[in-house]
Amino acid sequence: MWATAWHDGGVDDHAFIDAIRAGDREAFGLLVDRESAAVYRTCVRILGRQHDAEDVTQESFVAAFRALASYRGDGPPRAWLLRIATRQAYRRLSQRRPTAELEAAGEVALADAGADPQRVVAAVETRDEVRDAVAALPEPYREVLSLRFFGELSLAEVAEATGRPLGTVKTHLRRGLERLRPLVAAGGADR
Amino acid sequence: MSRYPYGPDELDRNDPELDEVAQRLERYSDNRRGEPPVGLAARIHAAIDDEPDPARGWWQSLIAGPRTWRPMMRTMAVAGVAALAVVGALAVAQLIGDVPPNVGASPSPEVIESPSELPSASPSPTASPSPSPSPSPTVAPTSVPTAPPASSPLPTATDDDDDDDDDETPEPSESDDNSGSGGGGGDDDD
Repeated sequence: MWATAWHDGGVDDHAFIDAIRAGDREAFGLLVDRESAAVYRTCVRILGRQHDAEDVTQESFVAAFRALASYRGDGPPRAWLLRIATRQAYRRLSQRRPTAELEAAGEVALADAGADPQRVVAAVETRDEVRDAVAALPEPYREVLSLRFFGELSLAEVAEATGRPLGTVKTHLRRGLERLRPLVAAGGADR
Repeated sequence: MSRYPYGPDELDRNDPELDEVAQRLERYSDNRRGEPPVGLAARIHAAIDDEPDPARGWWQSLIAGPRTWRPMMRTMAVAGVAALAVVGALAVAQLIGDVPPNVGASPSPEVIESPSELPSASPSPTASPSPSPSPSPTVAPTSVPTAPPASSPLPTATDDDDDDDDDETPEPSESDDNSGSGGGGGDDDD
């Protein structure tokens, strides 16, 4: 039912969200089809390693399915999913071995920067610098910045996903960015 | 390009350096815009299929249908048995506790009996047929069989119409049973 309605462009968001909250597996399957790419991209930006991002994307959907009762349905499902995914990704990051960080940096750089060694090195340094700087932020700044920039959510969506007032989210965004000022001071190549 | 490109107005203040930090984060994300590998969605679907039905809130379980009612019914049955056990224990405790002390509702009949014994003494219940005028007010509240005069305080309006003793004896019991509706009607009329 949901798949057909989705292909016909006739999905009613409210009915869709209600079906997800009621544990409708078909509706949740459609949610996987719609949002897995966004969740995966967010995980890659946090983890820097495609293999880990795949695992965490899968784990995030499973965790979301198990926690359907906690989904209030007052915001877009993507924001709710991405909040779960960012938490799972940072948990994975905290468990990672130091050598795995180097492997992750090299894997991402080789995949995205092409064969030019100088560009690979620059990309590795820049990406690790940004990713590490955000990962080192305390909560709630890390969560807000990750959802806003890595998850590409609007501030209103971040507010809905986290259950915080919009003004509070803006404050967290500003304070988080202030803590990242050294990034700008240090410069660095952004392709 | 991000779904929601960063704008300086998001911070509610003018700070070019913070804008630059934000734009740098945005560029980082733009450079990581790869598509997920083929088969990831299928892998997630398979993982979800292996999952049991998710836990729900009780109101959703109620809506979901009888299949999900069973655990709730079991819980309610256990709660009901526990409640009955508590009520039973309290009743037994009250029965045991009634005998020695004068606690709760038990003293009220004793208090009523004692005044009847004081003025009219013991013969009053036995002599109830003969000295009807004198003991009648004292005996009236005490015992049901000597109720003919006792009915006088309760149904005052009906006593004027019905003077028969046979009719009056059941009336106190009836008036007790119907005290809710009858008393209420009388109050409303007044």
